[in-house]
Amino acid sequence: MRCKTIEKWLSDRIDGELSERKIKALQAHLERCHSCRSYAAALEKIQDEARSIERPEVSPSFWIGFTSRLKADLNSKRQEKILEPPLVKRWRWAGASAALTLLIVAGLYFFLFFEKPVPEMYVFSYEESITQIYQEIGGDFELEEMFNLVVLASIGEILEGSGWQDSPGFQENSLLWENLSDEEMMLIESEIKKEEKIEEVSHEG
Amino acid sequence: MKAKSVVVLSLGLIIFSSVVFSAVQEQKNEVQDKSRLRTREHIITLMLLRMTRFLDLTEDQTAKVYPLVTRVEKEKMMINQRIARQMRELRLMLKEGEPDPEALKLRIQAMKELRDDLRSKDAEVEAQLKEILTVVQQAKYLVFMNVFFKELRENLERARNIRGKAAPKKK
Repeated sequence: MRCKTIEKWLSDRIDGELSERKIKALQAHLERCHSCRSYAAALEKIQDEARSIERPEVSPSFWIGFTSRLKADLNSKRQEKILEPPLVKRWRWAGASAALTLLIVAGLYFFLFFEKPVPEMYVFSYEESITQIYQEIGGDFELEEMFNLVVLASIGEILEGSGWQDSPGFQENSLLWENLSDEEMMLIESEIKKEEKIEEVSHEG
Repeated sequence: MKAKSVVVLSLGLIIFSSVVFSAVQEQKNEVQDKSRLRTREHIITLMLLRMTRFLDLTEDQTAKVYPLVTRVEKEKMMINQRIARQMRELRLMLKEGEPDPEALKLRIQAMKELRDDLRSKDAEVEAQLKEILTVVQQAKYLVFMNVFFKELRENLERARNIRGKAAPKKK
């Protein structure tokens, strides 16, 4: 049985509201539980002391309107409690708010003024750049192929922007042809042949 | 008689498979070398295009810089190919139980010479650029090298992302 229940039963017993069955159970528990026994002894002591206090003499006029006075008094106390929270409670909230504000300000300060140290790497020649890139690629053949395509796309973007396709002399640019692989050359050749066939057909038509 | 022929046949098979394996490996290496050369060519093309804009090269300067870089680059590619070959052989030698120290010394010397050759090519480009470019352009060139390096790294990251999207890794 929980000691909390026993404490309630002890209080009920003083008020004479405990059933016989519960009293028996209570006795049984008190025999076993030292802390409840102490609690019961303390309660009995308080009760005895309360009994010894003499009741003050009150005039009959005091009781006239006693209930309404009590209610009004309680209401005013309640209002005061709502309007003015206890000082400690108010300070607790103020402290928490201050701490939170401080945390936010500190967080913002560090976020704005303290950049994460990113290891910067400097190179002085393109050879160094390429070496570094190859080191990162390692033996990953698939990644290298993908990287090659991305680089090609970057070249395409630059050339497209400069209008090289409209320039009549772009095919004379040795860089263009020198950097094409055999497969790319074959692709161009097949595309030219296709175009020639289309032209032939349209002429015949 | 029968056992003898089995042994001979097995030996033949082992020799044949090792020859086929080394041929396949050699072919794979060749494909990889070729692919690396192509990637390198593209990187240089991209660098030249970007450099022209970044340094505001005049037509006259472009006419000097492009052939210089292209020529030196080709020479460097040859050196790099030789380095790759030497490196492969060096790895194979180190895989052996006890590699011959004299043979190793020769390889080390060859590698060092190739590395020096590469450095001298870079020095040649730098010396020529000093002649061709103005001081401001030389300063810009130093900044450009790092801008371009950053772009290459971004391109590599993009390549990683594309590959990741194309073939998501199994958890």
